[in-house]
Amino acid sequence: MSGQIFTAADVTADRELDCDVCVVGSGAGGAVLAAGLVEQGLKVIMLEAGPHRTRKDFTMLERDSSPALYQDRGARSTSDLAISILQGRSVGGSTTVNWTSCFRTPDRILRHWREAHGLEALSPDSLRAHFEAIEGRLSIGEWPIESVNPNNRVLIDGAKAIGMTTGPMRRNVKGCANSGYCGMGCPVDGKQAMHVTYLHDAVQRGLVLHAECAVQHLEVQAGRVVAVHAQIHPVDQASPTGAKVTVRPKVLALSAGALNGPALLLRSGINWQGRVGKRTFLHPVIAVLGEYEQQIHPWYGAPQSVHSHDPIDRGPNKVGYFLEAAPVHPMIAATSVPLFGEAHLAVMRRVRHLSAQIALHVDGLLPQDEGGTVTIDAAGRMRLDYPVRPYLVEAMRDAHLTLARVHLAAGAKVVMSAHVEPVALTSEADLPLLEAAPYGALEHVIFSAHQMGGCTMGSDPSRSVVDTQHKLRGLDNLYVVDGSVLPTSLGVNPSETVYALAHRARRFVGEAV
Amino acid sequence: MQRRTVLKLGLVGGALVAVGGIGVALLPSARIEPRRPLQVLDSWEFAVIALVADRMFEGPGLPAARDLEIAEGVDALLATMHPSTTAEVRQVLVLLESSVAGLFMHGRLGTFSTSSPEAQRAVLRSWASSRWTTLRTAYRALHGLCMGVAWSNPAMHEIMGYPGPPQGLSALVASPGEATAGEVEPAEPEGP
Repeated sequence: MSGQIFTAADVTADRELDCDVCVVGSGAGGAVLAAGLVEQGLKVIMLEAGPHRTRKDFTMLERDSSPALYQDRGARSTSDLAISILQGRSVGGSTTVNWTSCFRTPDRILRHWREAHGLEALSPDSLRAHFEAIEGRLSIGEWPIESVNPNNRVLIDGAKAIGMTTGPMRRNVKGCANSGYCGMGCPVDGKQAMHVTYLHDAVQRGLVLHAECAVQHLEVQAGRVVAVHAQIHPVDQASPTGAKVTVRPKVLALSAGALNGPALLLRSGINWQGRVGKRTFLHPVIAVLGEYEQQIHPWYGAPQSVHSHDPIDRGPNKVGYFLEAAPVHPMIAATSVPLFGEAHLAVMRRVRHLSAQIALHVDGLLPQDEGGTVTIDAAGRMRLDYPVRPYLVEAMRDAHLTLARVHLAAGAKVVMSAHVEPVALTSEADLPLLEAAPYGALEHVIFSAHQMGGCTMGSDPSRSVVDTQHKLRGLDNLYVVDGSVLPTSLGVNPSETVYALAHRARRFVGEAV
Repeated sequence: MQRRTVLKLGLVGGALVAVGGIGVALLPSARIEPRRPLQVLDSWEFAVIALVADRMFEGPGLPAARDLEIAEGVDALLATMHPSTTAEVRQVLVLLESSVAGLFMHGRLGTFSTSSPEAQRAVLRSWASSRWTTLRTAYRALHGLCMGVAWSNPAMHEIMGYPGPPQGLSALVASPGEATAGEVEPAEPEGP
C-alpha cells in the first residue's frame, strides 16, 4: 500500500484523521522512526511544518533556499541575536540542508552519559547494529582525499604544520557531484537526505505525510495525548490558510527538533518538573577567516571533508572544541561579516580568496554547564536564550588563536577575525592582538548548526524529561525521538547519532501502540 | 533572506523606544518613495530602512541601494514573517530615528533620516560596538536585513567575483556516479 505526501495546496478543508502513530517532524529522527513503524505494519501520519521541496526546486541560490528551507525563513537566532541558528525546515528537516558530515557517537560521550546521566542502555555495543543499519541505508563512507576542496585543504595543511592531526570526514552521499551546495538542498540527490531515503521508503509503504502543516497544540486527557491540532500554513505566507488538520493517534512521536519540540510541549502545557526546554545545547561555533594569494573558492566542493579533534579535551574545567571548515556563499558571508559600507565591501570582494575555518564548542559536559533554555513568548513562539558563560568565553579565545595559527601555517597572507571590530594578523607576532580582543555574545560572530537537548534523556526522573526508551515522563503515549533527547552535546556533528537513536526507538514506539 | 531579525529590546530598549517616540513626532523625517507597493511597512518606516540600506551598502563599483530595491526587499521579506517580527523591527526604527533617544545615546539632537551620511555612519558604528546590548542587537537586526537582501541578489555575484552555481548538474542526475572535484565547472570564466 503506497502512501502520499500532501502539500498546503492539497488541503483546502478541515481534516480529521486517525492513526496508530502520529509523527511530528520529518527530519533525522522522525524519518527513520516512521520508516520503521510502517515496516511494522502500523498506520502512520506525519506532520511537517515546512514545505515539500525536491532537487528540481533546488536552484543553488540563497535567495530561494534560505526562506524556503530554513527555520524562521533563515532568520532564527537566540533572543539577543548573538547566535545565529541554522536549522532546516522542510520535508527532511535539517538533513535536506546539512553538510553531510557523519560520526558515530564518540565512546567518551557515551561513557559520560552512563556516568553522569545513568544511560547504561546506550553503549557502543548496544548501538552498533543501529549505526551499521543507518550507514548502509545512507551510504555513509569516507570522502576521498583527492576530492578535498581548497577550503578544507587549508585545515589539513595548517593543522599539520603546527603539529595537529586531522582525519577524513565520513559523508552520507552517493553520486555526489562535489558541487558544494549541500546547504541549499542537493540538486542531484547525491546527498542521502531523508526525503530521498527513509521518507521515500516510508511513503512507498504507506506513510501519509502532510507538509506545510504546523502543529499548534497537543490535547491531553487523563495522561494521554488524544489529539494533535495543526493548521495549514504555506511557507511563503505570513498566516495560515485557515484549514485545520486534527490527528487522533494511539501514540504520538515528537520529532520536531531540539527547539520546536520543547516549544510545542510548553505551548501544550506539558512540562515535566519544569525541565522541558532546559539543557539546550548548540555546539556554539566561531569562525576565523584567512586570505590567500590563490583563489580558494570556498563555495565549491564538499563543504566539510576533514576535521581535527585535537582540542576536544583541554583538561579539567575547560570546554573542548573541534575544528572543521565551513563553506562560504554570498549571503552568509555578507551577513556574517559585521561591518558595513566600504569596509564590508572590501571583504566581500576578497571572498573568493578566503578560507573559513570554524571551531565548534562542546557544551554541556562541565557539571555547571546547563546550556541554553527554550521558552515560549506571549504569542506561543519559540524563544531561545543562551548565555555565553565565562568558560565558553575562555574556550572561544583559545579557539580563535588556534584557528589563526592554522591559517598562518597554511600560508594565509592575512588572518581576520569576525569581531565587530575585526582583528587582522599577518604573522604569529600578531597573536597577542587576537588574545587581547573581547570575546562572548555580540562581540563576534557566533552561530550554531547543531541543536541538541531540551527534552533530555536519563534514568533519573528528577533530572530528565524522557526515559531511556524515549517515553516522556508523566504521559503514557508520548515519545520524543530527535536530537532534543541528547543530555549533552556530542563533540561531533550530531546527525548520525540522531539517526541511530531513532532506529533504536522504532521498537519502543511500535510496542506502545 | 537574512539570518537575524528577531530581537527583544528588553527593558532599557523598551524605555528608550517609549521616550524616543516623542522625538520622532517632534522632528521631521525624510520621505522616500518606494518603487513598488509596500506590504507591511508604512512610508515612514520604509524611508528609514532605505537610508540605513544606503549606508550599509555603499562603496566604489556598487549599484545604488535604491536601484537594488533593498528596502523594498526588506518589506517583502517581513511580509512573509510573523507579525511580531515586523513589530520588533518597527521598534528598532523608532529607536534609530528618535531625536530624544539620539540625544541620550549620542549627544546629538536630530533624526537619523535628516542627518548627514557621515553622521548616519557614525550612529551605525556606535550601535555596532555599543556598550548597550540592546543597541548591538538592533544593529545586527538592521545589518542582517539589509545585507541579506542585498547580497542574496544574483546581481551581486559578479561584483564579488562569484561565478555562481555550477552548470550541467542535471546531467549527473540521470547517470549518478562518484564524481570527483573538478568535474563540475563554474558558471563563468573568472578573473584574478
